[in-house]
Amino acid sequence: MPDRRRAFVRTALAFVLPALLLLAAGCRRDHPRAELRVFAASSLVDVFTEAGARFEAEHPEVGVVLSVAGSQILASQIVEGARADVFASADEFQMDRVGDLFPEPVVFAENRVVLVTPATSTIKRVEDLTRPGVRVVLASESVPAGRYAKQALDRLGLFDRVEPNVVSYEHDVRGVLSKVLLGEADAGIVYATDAASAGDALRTIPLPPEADVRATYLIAARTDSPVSAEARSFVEFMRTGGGAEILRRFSFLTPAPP
Amino acid sequence: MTRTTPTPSGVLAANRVLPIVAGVAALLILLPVVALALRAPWRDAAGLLTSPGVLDAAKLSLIVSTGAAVLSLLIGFPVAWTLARVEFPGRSVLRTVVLMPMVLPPIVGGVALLAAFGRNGLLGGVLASVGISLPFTTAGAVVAVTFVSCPFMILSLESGLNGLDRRFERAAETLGAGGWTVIRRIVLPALAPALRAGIALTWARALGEFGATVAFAGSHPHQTRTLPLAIYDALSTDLDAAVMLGLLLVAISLAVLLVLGGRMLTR
Repeated sequence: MPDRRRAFVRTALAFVLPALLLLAAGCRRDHPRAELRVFAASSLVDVFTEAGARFEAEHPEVGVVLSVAGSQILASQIVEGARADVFASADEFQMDRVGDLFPEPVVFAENRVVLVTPATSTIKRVEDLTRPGVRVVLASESVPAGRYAKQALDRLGLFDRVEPNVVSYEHDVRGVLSKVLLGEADAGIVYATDAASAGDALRTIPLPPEADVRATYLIAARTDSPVSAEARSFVEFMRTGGGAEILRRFSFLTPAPP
Repeated sequence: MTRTTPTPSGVLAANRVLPIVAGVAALLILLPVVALALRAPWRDAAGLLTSPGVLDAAKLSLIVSTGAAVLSLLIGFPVAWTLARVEFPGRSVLRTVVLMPMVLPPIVGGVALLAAFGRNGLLGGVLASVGISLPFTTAGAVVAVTFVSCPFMILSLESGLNGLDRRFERAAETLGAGGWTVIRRIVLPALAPALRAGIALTWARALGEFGATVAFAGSHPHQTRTLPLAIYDALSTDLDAAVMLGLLLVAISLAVLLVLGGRMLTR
């Protein structure tokens, strides 16, 4: 019996000690940091990860907690009561849905859509998407990247002829990217920034000027947030501060400074 | 005077306390579904549920999950039989391997399937040479869903086989019945409850599958966009439609579990 009890104590300690350590580590901070919850559209993940770290370095009293998903998912979460202090949306429509809480959105970045193919592909121009047997993957029209892709193809008068070749309408733009990266699709239409993030594994083909469809990204601070001052300062940081610089480095277009 | 063994008082106390915990647990599971039903736009239900997109997705879902249940049965029965009846050194390894999809995140399963059966996958070339291409097809969706849901069939059938009284089989053999006759006349009828439960669980899990499907088969309205994928897509633009579709899925799953699962699950 004592053996079994000792085993029990040992098991209990194995669980309790790490928990206590974690707790202690959490308490050790001298200044409790204000938690700034930033909700950002999927295509912003790399930029905001870096921007969040730099913002924390400039504001040691703030801890940035980043939440990344499709703009539509984030907007739904906010509508359903999730606490977001800053919301960066890839889509005006999704920002409008949370307009009561985020009344003053501003455009802070733009993104082009481009054609991507595996590096070894024989596809050279967007017209090649109409060739029989080409597997095209687009984003679903329920997400911004899908709407922009359709708009671009429509402007070129190609959508109706490309449509039969579309094998999947992915639920977010990263899904399109991964299907092309894995070589399962012959071509996809994604944001220029996604194409840049994939590096040499993909070939990027710019769309003709008449199909230059641009995604506009909006950012806003929540007015009734417990950390609204920090939220406003993060928005400024993304518009004009170090955040804008990071955006450009990741191939986003930023509005000309006023 | 008859003496009954007194139930230990600790067990008596447990009999009083644990049902309360069980009740709370049941409520916690039920609550989100009830909350979903409460916020559903019932007035628009008919319109939302009969739109062409929903009907396509529902039809695809029925095809895919039924296909997956059949495939799971074809794969699951031999596996369960081997696990339950055949003694061999690697048995626990085999069990771990075939049950692995239960603990694997489905989206990882989907990517793994691409690595195996995709165009550039290990067997992609072999499949292509016989004219088979699975990604982005309904057949591909069936494969993805089977990968995730088959373990439920295997678990049900194995525990069913383990619970059988082998004396009946021996008796039948003594009376001169051959192997197939024993399986057909003795084992399968006795296994029926486990079989029904296995089909119900597998089918219901298949109906809700999302991650592996979207990763392996993509999301095409007429090929691979089953109800869960349609729900995810609707979440972007039309929360009402998403909620209504979600409830439809809950209703179908519950009905299947209750009707097919029968005695095994409701006893």
